[in-house]
Amino acid sequence: MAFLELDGLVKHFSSFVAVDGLSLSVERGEFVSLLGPSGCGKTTTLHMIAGFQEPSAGSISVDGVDIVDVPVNKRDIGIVFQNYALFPHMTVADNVGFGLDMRRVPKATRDARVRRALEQVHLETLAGRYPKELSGGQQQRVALARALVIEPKILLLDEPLSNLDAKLREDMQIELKLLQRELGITTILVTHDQNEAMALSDRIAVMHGGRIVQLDAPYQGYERPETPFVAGFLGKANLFDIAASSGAIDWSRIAQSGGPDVSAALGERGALLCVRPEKMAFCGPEEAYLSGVVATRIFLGASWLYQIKVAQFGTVLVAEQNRSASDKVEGSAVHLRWEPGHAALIPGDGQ
Amino acid sequence: MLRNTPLSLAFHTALVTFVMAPLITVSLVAFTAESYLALPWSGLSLRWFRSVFADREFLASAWVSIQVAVFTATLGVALALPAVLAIGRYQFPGRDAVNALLLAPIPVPGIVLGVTFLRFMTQIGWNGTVAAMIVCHLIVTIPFVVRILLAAIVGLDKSIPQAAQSLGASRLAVFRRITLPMLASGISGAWIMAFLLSFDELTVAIFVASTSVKTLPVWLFEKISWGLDPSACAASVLIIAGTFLAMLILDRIYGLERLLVGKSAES
Repeated sequence: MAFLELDGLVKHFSSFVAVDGLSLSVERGEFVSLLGPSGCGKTTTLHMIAGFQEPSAGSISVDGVDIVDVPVNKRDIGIVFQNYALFPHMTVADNVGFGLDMRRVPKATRDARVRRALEQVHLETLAGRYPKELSGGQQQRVALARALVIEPKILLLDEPLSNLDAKLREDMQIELKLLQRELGITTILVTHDQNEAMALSDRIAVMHGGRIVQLDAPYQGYERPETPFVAGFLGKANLFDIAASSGAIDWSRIAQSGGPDVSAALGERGALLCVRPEKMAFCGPEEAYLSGVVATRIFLGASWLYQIKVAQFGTVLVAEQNRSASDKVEGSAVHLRWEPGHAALIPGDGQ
Repeated sequence: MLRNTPLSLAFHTALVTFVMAPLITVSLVAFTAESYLALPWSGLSLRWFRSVFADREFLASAWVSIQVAVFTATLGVALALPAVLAIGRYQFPGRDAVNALLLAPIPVPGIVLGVTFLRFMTQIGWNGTVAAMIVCHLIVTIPFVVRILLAAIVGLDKSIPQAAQSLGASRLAVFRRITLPMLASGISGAWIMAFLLSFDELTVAIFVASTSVKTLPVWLFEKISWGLDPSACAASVLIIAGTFLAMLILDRIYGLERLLVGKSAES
C-alpha cells in the first residue's frame, strides 16, 4: 500500500459534483501534481486531504491509517496557501513557531527549529519582521518554512507560486524542488500551470471534470498523451483528426516512412495524431507530409514560433530552435514533416 | 484626491459653521460669570462648573450613564461576537433570520421602543433600575455592534484560520491566538461605538428612567425643561469633551472613516 492512498473520493456540493471517484496512490517522498483547469476538482481534492472538507464518499489513508475522521489539527499535514495565509499580527519567527507552540515544544528546541527552518528558506535575518513588511517572495518562503517546521507527513501546496512574478517563480521552483528532495517529504501540488507541474513533479495527475484523466511522469505525459484534453493541457499540441484531415495530410507517405499504423487505429471511433510544435520540421516538398503558408512568425528568444495555414485543415504550430535568423517570412510557402516516432496516436472518443 | 472647488469649499465652510456654532456658543456660555444664559463678555468664571460638580444629581446620573454604557458595550460585544462569527463564516438554516433579528431595532423609532420598554419593564417590575436601562440600551445598540463586527469578520481571510488549524491548533486555540487578535481593532471599535451610543441616548432612556435612576442626557433634559441656567451649558461642555476624547481614541485605534463610511482602511 502506498504512503498516501486516495480511494474512490467523491465530493458533491448539493447537485454539483466537484470530485467524481478519484483514486490516487502516492509513494513516500514522491512529488505529485494535480494539474487541471479551474473547476476540475483539484483544490477540492487538496482540501479533503487537508481535512477542510469532508468527502461525500471514498477514503483517504496515510501510512495505512484512514484519516477521514481525523480532525484537521491532528492530521500532521503542512499546507502552503496561494495567498500564503500568514498570521499578520505575528512576526516571521512567531509565524514559523506557531505549529511548534501548538505541539508544546519546549522553548529552546522551538527556537532552534524555527532558526533552522528560516535558514532553509534563507530568511534567518528577517525573523523579527511582520508579514506586511516582506515582499511576496519572502512571504512565500515564510509560509513554506511554517509548513515544514512541524515536519509534516505530507506537504500540500495550493498554487503556491502563482502570485510571484515570472523570474522569481522559476527561482522558487528550483529551490522548492531541491528542498523537497533534501527533506524527502511527500508532496502534493495543486496547480493550473503546466510548466510548474512539469518542472517540479515526479508524476502529474491531469484532472478534468473531477477525475484524473492521466497519471504519468512529466516526460511520459507530454510525449504520450492519452486524450486530446491531456495533449492540449500539457504543452501545446497539433492534433490531426486522421479521418477528417486526409485532404490536407499525405497519410500514405506517413505510412511508408514507418509512422504509426493509421489505418488500423482508425476503426469505428476514429483517432487523432498528436505532434508537438517542436517536433515539426521544415523540409523539401518531395518528403513533406503537409504543406502550407506562414501566417505569423513570433520570435521567442530560444525559438521561433510559426503559425502555418494549411489548406483544408487549419493552423499548425511549429517551433524551431533559434540557430540562425529565420528566412521564413509571413506569406512564404513551407513544407513540413516529423520523425515517425515523434507522433503520438490518441484513440478517438467518438465525438 | 478631488480638489476643492470654491463652491464646495463654501459649502463645507457653511456646513462646519452650522454644526460647530451651537457647540461653540454653548461652550462659551458655560464660562459666563452671570447667573443667566449670556456670552462671557462681562467676565469669565468657572462658577457653573463648580455648581455642576456640587450637584449630587449630576454626579449620580453621570455614574449611572457610565455604568450603563460600560455594561451595554461589554455585553453587546460579548453577545454579538459569537452570533456574528456564525453569520459571517457559516451557512446554516435560519442564518438570515438571525441576521434580520439582530438588525431589527434600527427601523423602529426610538420613541416607539421607549414606550414598549416602559410597558414591558413595568410589567416585570424592573422599571427604573439600572439593569432595565442596560437591557434597553443593549437592544438599541446591538445592530451597530453587529454591523461593525460583521465588517471586521467578513474582511478576514478564511485561509488564515485554516492554516492555523493545519498547524495543529484546536478550534479554541484558533479563536484565541488568531481570530481574536485579528479582530481586536474591530472589537474595540464596536465597543466604543456602543459606549457612545448608549452614553448619548435620550429617547429610550427618558421612558425607562425614574427619579432615582436617570442617565446624564435625561438629567440634562429635565434640567432644561424645568428652567435653564448656565450649569446646563457647563454640563454639556463636560459631555462634549468626554465624547470628543472617546472619538479621538476611536479614530486612533480603528479609524473613524472605516467605522462611519464603511471604507476599509489599508493597514
